Amino acid sequence: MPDYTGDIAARPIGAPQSKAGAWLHRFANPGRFQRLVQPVLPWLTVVAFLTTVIGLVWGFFYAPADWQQGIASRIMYVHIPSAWVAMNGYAALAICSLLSIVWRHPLADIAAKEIGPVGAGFTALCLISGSLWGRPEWGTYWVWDARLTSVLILLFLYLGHMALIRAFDNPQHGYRAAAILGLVGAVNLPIIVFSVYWWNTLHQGNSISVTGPSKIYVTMLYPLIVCTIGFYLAFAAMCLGRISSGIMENRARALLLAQAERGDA
Amino acid sequence: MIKHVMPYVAGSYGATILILGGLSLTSLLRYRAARRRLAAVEPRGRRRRDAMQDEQS
Amino acid sequence: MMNRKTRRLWLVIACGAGVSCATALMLVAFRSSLSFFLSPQEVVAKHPAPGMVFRLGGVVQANTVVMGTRDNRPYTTFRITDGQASIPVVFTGVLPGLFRQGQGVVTVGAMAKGDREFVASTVLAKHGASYMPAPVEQALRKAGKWNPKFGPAPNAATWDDKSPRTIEADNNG
Repeated sequence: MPDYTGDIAARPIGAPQSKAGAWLHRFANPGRFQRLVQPVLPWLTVVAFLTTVIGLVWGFFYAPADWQQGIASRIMYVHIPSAWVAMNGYAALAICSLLSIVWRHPLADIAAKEIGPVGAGFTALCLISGSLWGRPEWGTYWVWDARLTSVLILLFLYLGHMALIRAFDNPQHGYRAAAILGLVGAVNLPIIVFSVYWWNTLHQGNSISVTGPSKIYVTMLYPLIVCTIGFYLAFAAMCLGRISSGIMENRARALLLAQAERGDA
Repeated sequence: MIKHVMPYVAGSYGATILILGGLSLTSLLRYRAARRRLAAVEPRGRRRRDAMQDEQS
Repeated sequence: MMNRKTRRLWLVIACGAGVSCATALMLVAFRSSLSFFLSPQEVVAKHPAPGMVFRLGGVVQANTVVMGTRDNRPYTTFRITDGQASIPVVFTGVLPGLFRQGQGVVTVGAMAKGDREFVASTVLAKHGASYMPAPVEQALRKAGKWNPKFGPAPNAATWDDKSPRTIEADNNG
């Protein structure tokens, strides 16, 4: 059995496969994915759960209160990590879309389908926690400034992708359409990141910077780091688990179909 | 000026538990169900490795 | 001679470039309406007509806040500045928790007729990006390193690795 598992018809017979394509197919066919992921998944789940719980308990009970916000600053430990995961989750979705459109990779299609709901969940969490912080601190639940609006658009992109990828009777049609939406929506990511610098917004600038010093005191930074690692691991565990489930469901369906055909013959 | 911010803090942590808990629970249940269903229809006598190799999407 | 995958890749790159350019042009075209508020400098330059509602944002200028009551409602006057220009603001109502001198705020309202005074109907506090535990703020203030009245917190590198006790010790030593 060759490694190639995509839609065979799309591949011209005898066409030379590019090096990148061959590499992708060797490392990302569904069978290999299952063999790599299934043994790791229980451990990943346990580590993700423990890290997230430690981070949340640390943030909620032990993190110091901010000098002017008081304990409202503790919302940050939920808000900032969920915002990061929401954006990087969409970046992952866009990469899957690219792999799907260019290389017609079946695993990328399944991954895009499963990243959608998880990413939407984290985006919703980011919006809800931000709103609950805004009411006591800004004086309003919601304003239509560039940062808040672009994150709301991110949520709609996730929801639209979820709907579109499931909207067709032929799943291949759904995969193509959703991949285009996924790629076009990636334009929104730099807008979210730079909105607070390009325009005047009510939302503050970034507290954590890769290039400069961070603006968060160390005793408040540690729980934030733990929460961030926990959220990323949780996102990875949920997505990998769902992709794995998706592959098993597809295989079970294919086997049943084959059995039915044998029964008919 | 709002002095009692505790409900807002508790609300956001509650939302976290609800959303993350809900997502992980549905993921876990779906994973178990998929595993069970595949085990039920997987042809016997064939090695699992082979079975997974000719995975169809 | 390109194969299908390479052709699709270039197609995606071309479309991506097109979509990015279109978005960038759109954002540039709508720049003024994408800004959530005008700074005092922009207000001085643009002279919004009296009665036209817009948002004015900036920092509450130190030592300009006067509070009182009018018709049993809290009544506040202060000036909003961005360092270049400064606009007097009148606000009747309850201020948000973060309102203080030196704090960033965004106010909604319009310029009053005749005089150059901004009548605000809403005041929103704009929070800075820094997070600092209360004891650290106390120590910085005591050490004379920073007073929140006169601007944002100093660069985090100067205090971030210090416990409140070391900040005070630095000052004494």
